[in-house]
Amino acid sequence: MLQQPISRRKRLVLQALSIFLLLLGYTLLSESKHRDNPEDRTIPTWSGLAEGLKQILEKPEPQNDLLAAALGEDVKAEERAPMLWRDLKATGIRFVAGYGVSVAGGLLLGVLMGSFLSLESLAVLPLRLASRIIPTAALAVFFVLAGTNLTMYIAMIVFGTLPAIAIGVSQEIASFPKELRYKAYSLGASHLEVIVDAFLPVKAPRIMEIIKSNIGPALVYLLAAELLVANVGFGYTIRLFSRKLDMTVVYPYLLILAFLAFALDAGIKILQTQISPWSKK
Amino acid sequence: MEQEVNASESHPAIRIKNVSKQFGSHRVLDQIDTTIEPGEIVAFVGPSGCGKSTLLNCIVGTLEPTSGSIEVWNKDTDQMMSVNGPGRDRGIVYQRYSLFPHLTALQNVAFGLMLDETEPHFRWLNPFAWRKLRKAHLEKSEEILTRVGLAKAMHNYPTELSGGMCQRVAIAQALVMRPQILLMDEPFGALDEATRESLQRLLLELYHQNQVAKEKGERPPHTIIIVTHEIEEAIFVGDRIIGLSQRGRDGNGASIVFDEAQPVFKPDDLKDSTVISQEKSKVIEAAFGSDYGQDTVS
Repeated sequence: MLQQPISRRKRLVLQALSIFLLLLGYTLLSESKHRDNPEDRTIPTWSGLAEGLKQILEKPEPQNDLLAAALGEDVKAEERAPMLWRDLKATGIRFVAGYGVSVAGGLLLGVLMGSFLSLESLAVLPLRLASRIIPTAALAVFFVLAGTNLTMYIAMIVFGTLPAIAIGVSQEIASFPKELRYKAYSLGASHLEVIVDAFLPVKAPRIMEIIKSNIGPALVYLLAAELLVANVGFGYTIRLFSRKLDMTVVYPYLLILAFLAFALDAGIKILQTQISPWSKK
Repeated sequence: MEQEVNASESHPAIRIKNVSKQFGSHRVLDQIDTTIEPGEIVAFVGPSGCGKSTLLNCIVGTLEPTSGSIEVWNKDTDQMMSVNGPGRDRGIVYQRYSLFPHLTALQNVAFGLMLDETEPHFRWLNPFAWRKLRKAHLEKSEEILTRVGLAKAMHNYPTELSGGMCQRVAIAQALVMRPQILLMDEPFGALDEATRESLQRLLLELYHQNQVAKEKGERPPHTIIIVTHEIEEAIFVGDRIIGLSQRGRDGNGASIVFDEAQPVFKPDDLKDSTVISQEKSKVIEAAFGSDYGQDTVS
């Protein structure tokens, strides 16, 4: 029968197997590549990746300091930091600032739209339109409007995710059961209390879900912008090494990025159970 | 506990004056005119689609009558006040969605006290004063939950409670506010027979409290309107039945076709089936028509 349940143990074994096959496949592929060309860097060996990882995690020597090269100036020895740390900081600040603004704005707009139907009518079409425009394709617009500094990254992420968040949140608020809304008023709630003490806590799990599902797009837009215009950050470093066809750094970076997104997801899940312990049942 | 004012005895609990309701060109209610006295448990009955829920929603304030007015006695001003949207003088119990899913049974009951007595800025800016008040709210809620027989499950979330328990909490949630009127829209419709009867007896207990208050010369505390399609339920819990029907009115909307006092059961009385079936045939005759039986079978 389809969808036949399997034991937990079997599931774990199969999952371990999948990882093993992945690693085995990579090893074989990389070995066959290196048999033809020992200098190959497109599919580096494990030792090649270890070297790349070392390059990522250690403080760079002055002569191959990428930031200094990019900026065309000397960076003082004490300001030099490992590549990963520097990129993490640059990309992290851009992401937190951009996505923070987007979530705060999207939440506020969404709650107001869900609560006031005339505001919803006024805002919904422009937001729908904005959510259909591909921000990466409109990158030039952001350069013109916001230059290439932090504001540009924030604008990029906000433009890319705020409409979706606002529309999603407003739909959630709008679907709040009307009986419960009447009930809240019959218990003496003010308009503010209906929003703060009924709408938000009841819809918190769904709202967190919306915030979680927009992290992916936000990272895509940020990385795309970094690939094109940054001189520090994950996107920049990946572009630099991709140009040189040097995958010893690119692969670890991709994995680190995937891991970060994974951690962010898990963090939000934990937050979700903290905020809404009732929704798990 | 505050004493109810004796002087207000002259005011009814609610006055419905010539209320008509029309949706587009479709007339649902036609010139409904009645008065409900404090302490009455009135059951609205009638065939489905007869407008009994529409009338209730007009009293709740979520629907506005097309013409006519509904007035509710206000405890503070001792005057009849027009209904303008849902308000804390009228408690509601719905069939579903009566409880807030993010709050435990106890928190659900205390929720109204919080909403009614405090504002968000008070709670945010005076955490210590709020905590003290909160404690009093929770104690009061605990007391009332114990009274409706839910002492054991008060820290459970609604999803962890059975349908009957949820409705008990919903009744407690409404009662803790000491509303002028308790409005119930098919409150026990989704429950099994045994659970339903135990909740009906809970309402009879409230009615009994009314009797006690009346004997002491106080204004009876619980005035209840219950909308139900179960005529037996109406006879069992109501001390008055108002039957609504659109029958034979050529789409002119429902009017009151039946309005009679009913035998009153005590909370621990047996359901007397002879009394109930006698009354039932009268109500059916008036509100549903004599061919009602054949109608439902087909």
